[in-house]
Amino acid sequence: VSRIARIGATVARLALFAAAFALSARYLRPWLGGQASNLTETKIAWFVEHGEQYDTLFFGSSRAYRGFVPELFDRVTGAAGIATRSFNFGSPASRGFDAYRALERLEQQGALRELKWVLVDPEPLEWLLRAKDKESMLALGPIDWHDPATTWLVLRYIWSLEQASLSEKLAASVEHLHSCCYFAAGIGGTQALVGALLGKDLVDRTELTDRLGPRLDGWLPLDDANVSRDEQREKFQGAERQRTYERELAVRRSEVLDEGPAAPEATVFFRRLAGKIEALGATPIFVTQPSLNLQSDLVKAHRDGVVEHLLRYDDPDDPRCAPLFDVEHRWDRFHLAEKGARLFTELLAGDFAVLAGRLERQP
Amino acid sequence: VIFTEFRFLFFFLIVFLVHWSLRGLLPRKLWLFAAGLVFYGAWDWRFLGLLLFSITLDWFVALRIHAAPTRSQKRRWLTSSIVVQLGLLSVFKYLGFFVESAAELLRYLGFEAHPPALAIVLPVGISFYTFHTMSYTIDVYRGKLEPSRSFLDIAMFVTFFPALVAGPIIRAAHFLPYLRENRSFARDVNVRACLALFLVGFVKKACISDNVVQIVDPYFANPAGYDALAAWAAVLMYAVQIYCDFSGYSDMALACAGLLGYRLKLNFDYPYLSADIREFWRRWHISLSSWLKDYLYIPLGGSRGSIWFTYRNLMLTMLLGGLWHGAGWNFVIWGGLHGAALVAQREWERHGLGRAIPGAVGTLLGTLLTFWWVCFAWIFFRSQDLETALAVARSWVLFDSSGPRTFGWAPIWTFLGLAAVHAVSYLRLVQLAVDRLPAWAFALLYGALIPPALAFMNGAVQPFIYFQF
Repeated sequence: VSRIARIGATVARLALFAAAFALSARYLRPWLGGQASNLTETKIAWFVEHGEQYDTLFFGSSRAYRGFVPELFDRVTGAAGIATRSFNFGSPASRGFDAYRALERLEQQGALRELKWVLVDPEPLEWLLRAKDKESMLALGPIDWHDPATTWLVLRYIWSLEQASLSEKLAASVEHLHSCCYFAAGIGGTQALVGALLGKDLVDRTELTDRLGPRLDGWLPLDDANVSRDEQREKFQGAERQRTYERELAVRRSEVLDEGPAAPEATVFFRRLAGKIEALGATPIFVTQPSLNLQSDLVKAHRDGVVEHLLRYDDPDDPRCAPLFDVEHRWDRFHLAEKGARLFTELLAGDFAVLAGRLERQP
Repeated sequence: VIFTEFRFLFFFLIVFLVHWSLRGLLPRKLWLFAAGLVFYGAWDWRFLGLLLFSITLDWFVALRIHAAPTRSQKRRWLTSSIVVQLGLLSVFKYLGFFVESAAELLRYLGFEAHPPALAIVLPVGISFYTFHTMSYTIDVYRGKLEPSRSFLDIAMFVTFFPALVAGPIIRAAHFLPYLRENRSFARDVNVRACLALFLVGFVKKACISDNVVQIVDPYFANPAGYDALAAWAAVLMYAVQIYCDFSGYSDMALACAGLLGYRLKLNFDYPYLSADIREFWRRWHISLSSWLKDYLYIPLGGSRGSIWFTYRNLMLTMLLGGLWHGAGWNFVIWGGLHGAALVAQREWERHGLGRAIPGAVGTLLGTLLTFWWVCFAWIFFRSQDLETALAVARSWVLFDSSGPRTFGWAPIWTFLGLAAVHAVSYLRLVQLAVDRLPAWAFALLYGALIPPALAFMNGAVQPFIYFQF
């Protein structure tokens, strides 16, 4: 009897513990803020203050951050009769999920009143599996979008990938679940308070131009003096690196899109992201930037009518895009150098103006 | 795997449940040994062989020491073990430093010296487990301890995962007796004390140490860019960071060991409230300072000789203690500063000055002066090079820096708030109140406190500072 009583008492204490935990978490959550990477936080904070100036946003990873030149974009679209004022929301390792979350936060803070166009490169979804990214899954940015519904979507996507091994899928799943636990626990939610206690503003005014670029429109070219030594090493420094790149480029050229449909989870996500943008009163335009990774799910989703507007620059055999893959325009296999960024932005702006003009003429 | 990560909690939960569901001493020891290997292997499985070699060597040597008929033979066995263990430590931890320092010296003397760059990976926790095993063989040699015939006992003692990679440094004489009788959950585990200690350690590490790094790291990366107030804020916060980091780890290690039925000794006892530097070393990293005293300072002769002989021993102990922390001159300087302070204190006392200002005021002044000096020494411990250290030290001592950036007064007020909480917790009033709570109230309180603690976590989990040692 005493053993049963002891077990009963232990179970009761565990139940009390769980109830107190759940209630505490429940009532704490509304007080917690969102928390992305430092750069995204800076951009969000800047945009909350100055968002009324901008009507066009470009979301993406470091490729967007380094490759999209807002001032040039606006000049080209203006010359084509479509006046825009654009802001580069790119941030290293950021993806479509981060874009969705940033839009949610900007909406909550009422910073998107003038929004008309959202260009977004969601990045290859297969990267959710990559070992390199697994390390960053516990960084604040990814935690912020690992709500249970999105995590479930990601897990289903990972397990649908035929080319991934069982161990890769398991390892990636553990990381995403770990991140989801962090999300559920509200980790990072007090960072604004912590920043205030430490006298460290989330938006460091002294570093603003280092982060948002000289014109404070979010673009920082890779060829400027602010680039770290590590990044310098990433540049195409020698013939060997160029040869490696050229080999990878040849592989990319040999890749062919199969006939199958996009992964259902990818379709769900693209619809969700497009729906969010439309609900904000803006038009979603997906973009594939010039890199060696074929975004097969996005391209298929466009082919199958799931994604309505897609501007592609990822085909090295397309004569218009081919120069973007020349070594002289590139920083590395992923990123464009400043010269390449300007070329890409000009192309994009021209295509955007045509598309926007057509959409504006539609009833 | 870091104690504050969720995956460690899952790992520990499995270890805990299986440990207490096993019957008998042998299966439990085998299980904890296996858990230790998995825990260590998760860092880098390649170094498991090195760990097992160290264990096997000292298990065998201890038996040979015991069996050796003469003192000289015993000494030969002990020497061989120490040479191998310290040799391994030297190769993995210090070889690159020694080679580079020798090359620097040659260059200084005008010779050409271009040593090859040595990319030797430091096995995590090697400084800690080397000291674990050495304490065992030395105690056997001194006749303080019977050697264990069971390889498993020695293996479990060294690979006991709560203390494996960052201490506290366990003594065989303390730990091995635990392995002779089966642990009883009802008798040997104080669940409430362990859970409370784990949460305290978690808050120190994850909520305080990992957050204050946000001003410490940028400042030490570019001290010339900040004003003197920022220098004070960063140095004070580094004192907070390293204390919360290491004592938080120790708290969690003690709590985990306690939940498995093993009681480890206290490693930190409010060291920043020490009124003098000797007291500081009795309360900071107690397992290391007592190890250095028993196995280095006393064998060197301790204070059994002239005053200069004692000072030499103090300085040597602290310099080597500094070098133990890392292969760099900054750590040696840090040890030297503490050694100098210990010598100064002895001189002060030798001349009969004692406490020049008696009573509470004297204690308060002593505490503030000790803390100031400890912070000054931390500057050298934290800085990546001597140039940085001197720049920070100038700001710390002369309040002199004209950089444009500042953190304002906010971190100073935060530091004072943390200091007040620390001082109040020293009175152990909260601990007494928690101890008196009925079990159901403790369960409620514990459940309610975890979400706020988690919310204060910084998502970018920082490795424990002492892992690198």
